[in-house]
Amino acid sequence: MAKIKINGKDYETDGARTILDVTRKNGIEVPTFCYNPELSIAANCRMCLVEVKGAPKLMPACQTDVRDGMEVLTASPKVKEWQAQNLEFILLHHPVDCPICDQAGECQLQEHYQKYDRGKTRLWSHEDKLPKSKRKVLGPHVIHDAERCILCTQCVRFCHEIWGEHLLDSQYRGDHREIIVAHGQALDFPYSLMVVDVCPVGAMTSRDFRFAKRVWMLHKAEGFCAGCATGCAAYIDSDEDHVYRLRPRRDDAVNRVWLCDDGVLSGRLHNEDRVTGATAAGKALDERAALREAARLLEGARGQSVAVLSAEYTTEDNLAMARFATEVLGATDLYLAARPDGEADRLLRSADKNPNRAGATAAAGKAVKPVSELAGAEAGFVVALGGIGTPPAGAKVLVLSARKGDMTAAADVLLPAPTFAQCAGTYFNAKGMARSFGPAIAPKIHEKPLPTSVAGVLDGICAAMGVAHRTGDLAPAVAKIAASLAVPADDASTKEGAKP
Amino acid sequence: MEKYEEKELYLSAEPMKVNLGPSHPAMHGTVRIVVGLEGEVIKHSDVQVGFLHRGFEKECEASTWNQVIPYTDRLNYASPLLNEIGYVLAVEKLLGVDVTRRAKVLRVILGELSRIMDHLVCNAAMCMELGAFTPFLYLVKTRDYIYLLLEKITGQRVMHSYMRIGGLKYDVTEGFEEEVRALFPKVMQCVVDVEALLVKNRIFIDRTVNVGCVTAEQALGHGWTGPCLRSTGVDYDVRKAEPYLVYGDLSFDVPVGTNGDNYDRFQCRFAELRQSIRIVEQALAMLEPGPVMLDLPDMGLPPKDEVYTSIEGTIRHFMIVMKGGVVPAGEVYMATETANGELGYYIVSTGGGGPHKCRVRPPCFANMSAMSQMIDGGFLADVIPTFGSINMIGGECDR
Repeated sequence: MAKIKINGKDYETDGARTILDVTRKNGIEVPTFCYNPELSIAANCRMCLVEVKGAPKLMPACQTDVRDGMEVLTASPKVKEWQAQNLEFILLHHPVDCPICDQAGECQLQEHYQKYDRGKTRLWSHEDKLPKSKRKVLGPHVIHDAERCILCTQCVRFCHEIWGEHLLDSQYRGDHREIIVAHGQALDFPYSLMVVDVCPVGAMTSRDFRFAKRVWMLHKAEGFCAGCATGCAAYIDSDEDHVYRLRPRRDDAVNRVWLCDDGVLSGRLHNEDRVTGATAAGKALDERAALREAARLLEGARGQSVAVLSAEYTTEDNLAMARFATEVLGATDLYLAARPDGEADRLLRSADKNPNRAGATAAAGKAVKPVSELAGAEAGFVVALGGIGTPPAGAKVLVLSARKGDMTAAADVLLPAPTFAQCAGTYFNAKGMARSFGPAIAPKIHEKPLPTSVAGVLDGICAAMGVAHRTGDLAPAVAKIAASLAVPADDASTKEGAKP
Repeated sequence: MEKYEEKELYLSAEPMKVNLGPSHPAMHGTVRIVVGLEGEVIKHSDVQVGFLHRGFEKECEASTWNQVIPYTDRLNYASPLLNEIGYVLAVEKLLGVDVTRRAKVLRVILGELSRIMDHLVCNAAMCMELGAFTPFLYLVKTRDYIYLLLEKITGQRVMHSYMRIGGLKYDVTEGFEEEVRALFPKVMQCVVDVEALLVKNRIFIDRTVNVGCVTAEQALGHGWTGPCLRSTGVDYDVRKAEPYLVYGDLSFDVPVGTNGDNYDRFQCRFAELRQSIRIVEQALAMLEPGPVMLDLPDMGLPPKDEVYTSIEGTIRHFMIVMKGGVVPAGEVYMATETANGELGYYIVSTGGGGPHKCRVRPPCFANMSAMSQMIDGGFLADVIPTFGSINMIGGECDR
């Protein structure tokens, strides 16, 4: 094992290949733009140059292999001078865009400038800056601002190496160089927004997020994408009850650092078609009155009802519904509602577009029927979780749902349930891995408290009905499901990781 | 006309509880004093402060280093620049930087002008409490001459927000020196007029001498500083004890009283005002052209022409506004002599964009602690003038 000296201190390389690997592992600061651990090394931004003893020039830390006895300086006067010069060079033609740039606030260029340069421009006039295309449409989701681009080529490498198609390229040289869509191609593939995610500056902009929100106003919560059965780890960025975007969160066992376009845009599941308040017979009610209406609706339901569970909702929500249906209503059959299958691909996307089919099925505790058979069922009462499905004609319908659908349209009493961004709970993805999370959007202080769980709403109905049943602690049941679905340890590792 | 029995018109000799404030025209500043009266004599009193508590210190923890400056204006709002100077000096001490000579001299000049304003308005209020309304109008009118000048320089009449970490927001306007010099005859004329009306006035002397007496020992025990402490005969002045800015190079006296009563506090303030004029005159002679702001890339906002035309300026502006600048981790206590005494800032930095803790030692909080003792045994009518002589400023005392 090689030993190297960085800034006068000894480090074991510990299997690391390059100088940057060692510095990153040991928390030594070396600024980068073009480096991405998931992509090949380009060494074109020249930001990570360090002094290596014996080498006549500064060396790129990301590309220089470590060798035993190497002596590296990452913050010598020579390196610092270089960093400032390099940033001056990168900023030379950079437009004065921070006030209108989506990236401002999470921009590496801003951070590096403030830390490593802080100089003044030597350009005679800002009108000397080279104009380039400000809004080049690269594909359905991405608009490129060539002036802001620092030509790190992470976007080019992402398309080529991770997705496997050479969709982007660059043309011209020197100042005039810019990113283009490769000849005969379009940036139209299911991961095109990852190009925006890898961009260290504001050159690649998401059509969806463009000019929508300043990033420092976003509340950034750790959660999971609820768009399909893969269960990618994500940050859910929201403000004022609106989810603006999802960003990939590192999870080496599932999505590494990627997320599909559907996932990035899955804030729609929270923003659109929301059930915002309780209704009975189409009339808006306050929550307490709605609970009383629900109790009245369910009079005489015992033994004559069926319940619908949902693969869109957490295991906890489904457990609560299953317990309520069997213990309070004596439901004869349990159905499972789910969004229809969609496209799948080799990278992340599952054909099953539900985050929790495994968990919901397990929560039923017995065989479930597909919701498509519900319309033909013989039942006087239907209690449904989620808006999917059509109840049998003539049945009285109670629905708890976050989003509108056929079921909510047919509901006699409709109660709002928390959306994926509001709820806390556990999903079990296609591989049976537990994905536990807390609410990404907390209910606002001055608002009426939102239903934070389906269990809470159902307990409210029980209280209104005068029934002693309460949902109780769901954790042991979830743990039991987790144990039954658990995959052997070696299977859960990166075997089916993000790399094709 | 209704007839009263003679007996009914006597004030009760039984102890009577009377509330003064917190919202009463006479209690300038929101303070509540509950007094137990026997006739007109105060047997016991309970002084309650805190009605103007705004959470200044807590607010600072949620602000960036520069955002705190306008808040400090609202401490002692009768002399805002002195609070600003104390704060920026504390942060500069933490940063380990020394501002330019011109900035220092200008800070001294503007600070002393603020002190003059503060003393003018404090004495004005105090004589008004005694029924002397004419001096009040004279003095407050004179204060406005200074306000006009400060408004011209800083762009704001009362809440100037003019000091910056590393110097001043911008240089003073042209003709500043002449305008400052032109103030002095007006101020002195007014002070002379007011003194002619009051200092040998029998009523004024009867109402102030030996009223609200505090001995030097008591004053020190209460942590008094400033003109109130000096009125008891202790010559403690932070400008002399631990000179900051250019006070070490200036010659001025520290006026002290003998008796520690309302009369001495009144006289001390006017004497100090004369010393302030002396300081400003010397400082004006020291004033040389030069920059007023250091180039602090992590703290000072770049000039606007750079912000609007270069990406470097835009980024620097953005990063300082959004992240709040960089101050090394550490803690510091910096005391300055404000109009009311020793204003101390105890600031802790953890290297973040704003103060981790910003504790203020407000001089008039300590001064107010003796209030009850000063009014007990005195007349009810003397409560308000005594309170006025302390110069309790709610913004500073309650924070």
